[in-house]
Amino acid sequence: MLLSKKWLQDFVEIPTNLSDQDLAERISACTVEVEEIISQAAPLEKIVVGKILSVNPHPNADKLRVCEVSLGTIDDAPVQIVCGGSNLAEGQKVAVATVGAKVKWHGEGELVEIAPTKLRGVDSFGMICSANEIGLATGQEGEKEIIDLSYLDAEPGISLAEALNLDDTIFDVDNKSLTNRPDLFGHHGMAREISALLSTKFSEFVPKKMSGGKGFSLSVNVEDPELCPRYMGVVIDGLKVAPSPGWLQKRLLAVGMRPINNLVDVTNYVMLEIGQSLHAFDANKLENSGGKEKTVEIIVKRAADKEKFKTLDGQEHELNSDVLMICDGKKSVTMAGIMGGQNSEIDENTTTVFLESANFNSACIRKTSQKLGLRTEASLRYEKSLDPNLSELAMARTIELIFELAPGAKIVSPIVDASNFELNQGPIVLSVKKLNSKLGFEIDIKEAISVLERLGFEVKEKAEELLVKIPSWRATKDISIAEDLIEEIARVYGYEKIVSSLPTAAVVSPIKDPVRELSRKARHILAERFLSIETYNYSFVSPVTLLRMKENLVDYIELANPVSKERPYLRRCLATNLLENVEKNQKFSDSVSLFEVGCRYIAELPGDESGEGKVLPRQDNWLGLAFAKKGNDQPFREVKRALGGLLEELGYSFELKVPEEKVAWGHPSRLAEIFVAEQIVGYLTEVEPGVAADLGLDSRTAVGEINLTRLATLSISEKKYEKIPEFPDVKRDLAFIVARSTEYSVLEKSLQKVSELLHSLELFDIYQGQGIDPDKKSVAIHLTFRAADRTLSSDEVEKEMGKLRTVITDEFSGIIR
Amino acid sequence: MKSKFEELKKTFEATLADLKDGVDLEEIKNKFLGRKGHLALLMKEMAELADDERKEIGKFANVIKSGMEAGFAKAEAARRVSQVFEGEWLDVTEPIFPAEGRGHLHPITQITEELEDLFASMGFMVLDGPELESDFYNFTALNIPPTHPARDMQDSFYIKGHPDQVMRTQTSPVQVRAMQKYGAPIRVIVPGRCFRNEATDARHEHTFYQLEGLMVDKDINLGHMKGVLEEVAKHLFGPAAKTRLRPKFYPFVEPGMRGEVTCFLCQGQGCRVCKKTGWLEVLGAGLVHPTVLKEGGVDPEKYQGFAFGFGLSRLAMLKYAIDDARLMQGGDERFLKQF
Repeated sequence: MLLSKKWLQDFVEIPTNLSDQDLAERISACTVEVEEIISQAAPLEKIVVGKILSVNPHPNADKLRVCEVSLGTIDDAPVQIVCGGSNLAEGQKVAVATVGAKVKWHGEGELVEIAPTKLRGVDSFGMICSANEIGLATGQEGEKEIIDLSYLDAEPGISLAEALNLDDTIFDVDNKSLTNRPDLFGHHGMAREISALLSTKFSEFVPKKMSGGKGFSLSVNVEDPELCPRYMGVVIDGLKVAPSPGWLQKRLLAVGMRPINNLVDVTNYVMLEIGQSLHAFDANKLENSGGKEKTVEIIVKRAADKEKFKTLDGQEHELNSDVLMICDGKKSVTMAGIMGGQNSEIDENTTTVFLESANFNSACIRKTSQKLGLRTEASLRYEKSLDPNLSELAMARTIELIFELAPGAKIVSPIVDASNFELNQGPIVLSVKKLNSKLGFEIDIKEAISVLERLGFEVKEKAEELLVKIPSWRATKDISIAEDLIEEIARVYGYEKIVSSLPTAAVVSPIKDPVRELSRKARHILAERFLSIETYNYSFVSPVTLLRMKENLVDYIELANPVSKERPYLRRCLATNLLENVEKNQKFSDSVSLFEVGCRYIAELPGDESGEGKVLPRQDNWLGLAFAKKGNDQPFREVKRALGGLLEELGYSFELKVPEEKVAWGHPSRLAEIFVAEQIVGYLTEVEPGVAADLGLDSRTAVGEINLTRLATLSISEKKYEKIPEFPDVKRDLAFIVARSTEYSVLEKSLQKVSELLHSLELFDIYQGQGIDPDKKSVAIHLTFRAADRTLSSDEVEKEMGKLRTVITDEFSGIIR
Repeated sequence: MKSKFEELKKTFEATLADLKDGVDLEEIKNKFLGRKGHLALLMKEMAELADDERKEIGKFANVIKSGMEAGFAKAEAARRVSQVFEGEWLDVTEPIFPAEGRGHLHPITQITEELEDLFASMGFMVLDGPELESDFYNFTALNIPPTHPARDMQDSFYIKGHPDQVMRTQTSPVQVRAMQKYGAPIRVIVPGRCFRNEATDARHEHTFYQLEGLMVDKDINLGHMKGVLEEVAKHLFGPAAKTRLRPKFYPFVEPGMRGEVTCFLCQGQGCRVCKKTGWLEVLGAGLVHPTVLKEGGVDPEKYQGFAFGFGLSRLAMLKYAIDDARLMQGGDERFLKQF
């Protein structure tokens, strides 16, 4: 939002020794960030008014002239400038860019600094400018015209900025962070704020008493007072649409508003000044139910369902009963607080206007403007909860200006005021103790009161309390409790004056979140031990990938308003995006090992409470790992090594089981479920080759996931000291061939069962291939035998080996190698 | 006579000290200590001495001899050792190979852990809450009723068929959840994933990370808040980092402010990153709004406190000079391997 310093100065005294920088700094420190300070004069530096004394032909160029120009220097020596302007004339006043000024050559490209030069052999010491070369173009100029400033009452030599009164400073404030301050959306309110910050005089706008006139009958019927707490209206006649005077246009332009005509400009001007939006209708376009002459009949009511309405911008909207409309006796004429309609728009023939200054419910305006995607200067203000008192102020100011601009204007109707509002202006009780306790120091209470009073609060001091009455412009939403007042005092007093200190608190060891602890350890183990790379993926997944993975889209939670249609679903597993990562990274790397910790969103399982008696979808934290390496046909083993190793490192004993149910995108015979303490905590699988091809995966890829939320609830296997053996171990190896489908875990259990002296066994080789039947595999294991009370004899060990061989040959139809 | 022996020893030692590679040690041994060497010849000269004197010189000569022999043995050992080592020469400058690489943690994980450790050392719990949050916890409980314009500041993702559910736009809902669960006094931080419905480009991401903080006790005040935030700023940006607070409206704090730290890239001189201001906005903060305390089941007449939120994604981007926000969730190993 742009603010003009001059405009502010209509209402607030700004000390002349306060620089614009310092003023902006004070506003930023206490109220709102000033994002930019724009000096109107800065781009016109070293550009002055010059008077052409003579125009002579150029000896070497037809289209150039050699001018003698007076710049009002002390010796009054004219300056020679070569110029190609088509409208040069003796005695003309022009804009001269002197040596050192910066201009835009022919209005295009970068700024160029003017230097003494020779043009076709003739010396030139400056440039006579066209409007677009110095940023003053209006679009009316001819191509080779220079600006004719002869109309100015300015002596040669004075700066152009001064001559054109372009001496304002514009402050650009971040109004996005002012949603709580409807009172600051106009120069008048901002001036009051600045006067509080600077402790300088604020000249409040005091409206003259308005009185109605005769000629028109005017009725206003507010059907829904809750949505329209105040509606003021008046009919003004004797108007003539014309361009606004220069001073008004200049102000509007200074803050980025395009002048249109005197009537529209006045309402815009008042909005930018008072902060209240107004609407002017062509009274002759308003109809009434009785078809009477000189009668304006206004009804404020909700739109009919599916009602169609064409706004000023030519857009047609379909409405519903949530939208508040201003209607005449026969039709809707304005979308309240948002935009007027084409059917009652002011045009060049308008002579009579109906002027509306009203207050509308902020929630209603906000909802409509959002729903229709129609954000206007009016809706921007109404949705912040405007003070209904502003309606009157704005009406008075508008009438004042119309009379100034259109001397023939007169009020021809009563001034109608349908008012139905109540503001809670307190008083708020502010305990001095509470104030000091929140600030952290004892503030001089006189200072605190002074701050509040400067901001317009009325303060009564009573024992250890302040009774504070809220001014109407802060009472709509912004200020309602003691804490709000503390903020007012603190920010104006100055946050920089707060002395920092560190709080003292009881020495308690913070409660640890077991899932976070676990996920932190897991991340480090995967990165440090298994050299995997952590990635973060979106929570959102793509239906294209899901369908390729044969997932059922209806299972997925869907966003109502995704940023892009590409990823509207919430992930139900980490694999979806990890597989996309693998596909992408394969282009650059032969081996991809990526993991992620994040949550799944499962609609059908209950999660945390929603706070309103319902539960949210389950959002357990999972860890997912994907692995692929060119030439590696069994990435499953790598994922198993990483996830198994991870579980072991974390202290869990785990078991892998072949699940009964398959995963749609998983390799049906390379799929396992991970169990810890009899509970399923995850899975791992290779991507089914068909799915992998659809996903564009070049190498075989495996994925595994572990539910960290569940894992954190399970107990880790306790470490217990086992006596170091007194007698030596005896080691043997055993190699045999069994059916390929033999599950090692079953085999291992059977072997352990038959031999009490078998302390441990360790698989060290599995071989399939040349020399082995395709449906067989060769298995080799290290065996360790041990007894607690003696050294084992080779006979004893041989006996045990015999038992083991028997198990292999008899139970598993194996062949010992 | 004695001086002759001493002279000999000196010459011998000088020869050894000046030994060049490749000079045959045996030759030197023969020359000095051999049967016809210098020492032997000198010893022969002793025969002509009187008994007493011979005895005395003899003793002396033996000392010289064993000294020379020891010196030789040492030189010989040194020569042997240096030959062996030369044979075992390794190029210590060669890189580690075969290259094993290392694993990598995401930059945001690294920054989060750093801050978690700092706050844990100050007695803060580390918690998280649901990312798919109820409208109630994300807004209403944080003093943002349904019609509040502050909802515009945070374009939200809503869930189809569940208008009361939203992808959380901030980590602040966990303030209320934590107070409900643990009561007051409380010290907690919440690092977590948040969502805003906006189109992504180099500077905007719809998915980002925040670190929320909350401290509530009987007398926690603005000075305490400033003190803690300064600690964090110094930890993150170095001991010279200054912090300043500016007003900013957040419905769930009162007073509400934004925190800025001196730009660490230009030391506050003003640069492109800080838009020539010398300051970087890195956090929002304020005293917890009484409504929020009440929603958390904490009596605002007895307890008060501060809350703050850091943008972790932004911190990571600043710290590592990452110029495109989308890289954070791009899953590109070439990016991730740099951390």
